[in-house]
Amino acid sequence: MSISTSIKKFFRKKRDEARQVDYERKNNVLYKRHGGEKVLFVVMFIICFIFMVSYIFPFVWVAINSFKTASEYSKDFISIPKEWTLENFITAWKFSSSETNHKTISQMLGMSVILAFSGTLVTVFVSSCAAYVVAKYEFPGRNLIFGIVIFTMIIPIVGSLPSQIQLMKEVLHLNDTILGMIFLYSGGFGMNFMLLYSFFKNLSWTYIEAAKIDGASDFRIFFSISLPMARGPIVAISVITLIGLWNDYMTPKIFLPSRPTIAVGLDLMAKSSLDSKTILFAAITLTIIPIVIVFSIFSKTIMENTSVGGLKG
Amino acid sequence: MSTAVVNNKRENKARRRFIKPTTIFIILMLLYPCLQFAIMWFGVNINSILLTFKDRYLEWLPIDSLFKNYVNVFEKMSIPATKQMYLNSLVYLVLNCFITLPVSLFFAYFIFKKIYMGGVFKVVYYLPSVLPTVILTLVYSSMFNTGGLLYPLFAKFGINTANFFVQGTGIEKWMVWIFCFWTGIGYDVMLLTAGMARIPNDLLESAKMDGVSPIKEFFHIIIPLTWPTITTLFIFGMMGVFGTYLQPMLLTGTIDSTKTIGLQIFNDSQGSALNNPATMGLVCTLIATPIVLGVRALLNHFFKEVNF
Repeated sequence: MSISTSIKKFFRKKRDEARQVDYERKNNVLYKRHGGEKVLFVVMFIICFIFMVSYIFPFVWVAINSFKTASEYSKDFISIPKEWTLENFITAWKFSSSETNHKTISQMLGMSVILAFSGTLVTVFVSSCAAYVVAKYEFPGRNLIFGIVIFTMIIPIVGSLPSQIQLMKEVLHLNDTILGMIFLYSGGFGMNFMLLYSFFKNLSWTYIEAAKIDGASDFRIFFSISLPMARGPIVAISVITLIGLWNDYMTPKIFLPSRPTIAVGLDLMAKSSLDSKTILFAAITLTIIPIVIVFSIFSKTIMENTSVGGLKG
Repeated sequence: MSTAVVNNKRENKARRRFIKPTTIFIILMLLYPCLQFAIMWFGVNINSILLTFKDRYLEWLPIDSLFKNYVNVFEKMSIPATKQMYLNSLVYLVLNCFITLPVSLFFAYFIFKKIYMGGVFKVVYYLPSVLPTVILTLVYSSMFNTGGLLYPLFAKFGINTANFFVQGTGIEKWMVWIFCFWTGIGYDVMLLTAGMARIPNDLLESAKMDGVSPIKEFFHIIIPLTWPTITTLFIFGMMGVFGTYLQPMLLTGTIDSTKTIGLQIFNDSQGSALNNPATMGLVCTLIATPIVLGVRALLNHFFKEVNF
């Protein structure tokens, strides 16, 4: 299927959804409003709209200003650029300083891609393995594992960071290494575990029994039947984890100081002496673009599957 | 003894000698996650407890002053700057639980009731949750700093917004609070609308037929039926007391007027005296755990056994 057909299909689906909502609003007794109720909804609409503008406008303003020349921005930072330029993007792309550890944006983006993708891959796989076995197999200690997972989620641990730093530096010797970062991200018993656990728990056992009778091994069943069946929740969890790791500031800031990711690098860049703010705006725009693309494609998946504890770096 | 029984015994012996493939499968599947968890949860937290009994050079404290770090944490509480830090942190409980959450509940209700453009509002409000905090803080502060969009607007009234993030003006903490409110709403709205979407339409329809007003519907139907989500978000908001550190750090830097417990631990962790942040963290955990569990139990008690 060509890209244009998929885009057309995507927008057609969106239009249909909008039409359906519109129809419901007009004809469903639940959404019929009279008198004072109508006024209330109009007032709330205005408030909600102002709120929405407050979220969009700053980013649009930053994006627009990233296309201005430094001299134009210094004279006028409100209107649309008279002369659109990509100069800021080129400067931002090449920019490096001692504050950014002599790393350019492309290197930071590269580091973010490596960490976010490998971290997501490992943690989702590890969580799937753990969730599948705990949900579907009877073995001694199974309830203990589940109990411990629940317990650790309920207890609010504050300030385990110093201990983590010491352990990573002095015991594991994984500080400032990509492997160390992946190890930190590779937890198998977090929120992802809980989501996958409930999925596997409700998964019918019949396919697997049939495969067992046919002589398939446990590994074969897991990789060829169970994992493909869990594709839906796995995709959702992967997207959410990916965005979470992409945005993570604390872990790379502390455990990977010599190779900043884009989230850390932007902060370092803002602190270094830039010729103009427009360069920083261009860097921000460059960083936002991939996230906005992923978010617009997967917004429904992300929003339906985010639960407390997920996302937010 | 028949041959069948003998064969059976032999098979049993053979089975005992070799571990079943399923057992190997279970062990292999759980090996890494359990090992990682053991190191990163048990290892880290046990080490955290041990750190509280060590000095700044990470040597064991003498037995007669074993609790020196704990005494220090409590003694420091009388210092004005530390007092302010605890107060600053507690503000996030009020902000998250009693401002952001109720406002989100209100917004979520109208989105749930299919306000015009409700779907768009929900997606846009959620946008800050998928963007890095660094970008949000940079964009937010750029709006107020010299050359920012709001700078000339306030300048007309003689207000210099460039000072808004500097210690001493008294506005800096408001700027951090407004930022946390601004970025925190979307997440709550999204989870609350998801909770509300589970309420059966028949129930709301029958209430509507009986002439229930929107306010009554909100307080007597919507809130009790979304109570589990509200409880979770309330607890989550409470944890903001310890978890909020990035926002003040990136917006104002480490200054007394906006410093939080989380920020203090974050900063101290990067030094060599790890005993101090570890002790502070453990004391906070010991105080927070019963409170969080108590509040959870209390909130769950409010609308018990709501089934639909």
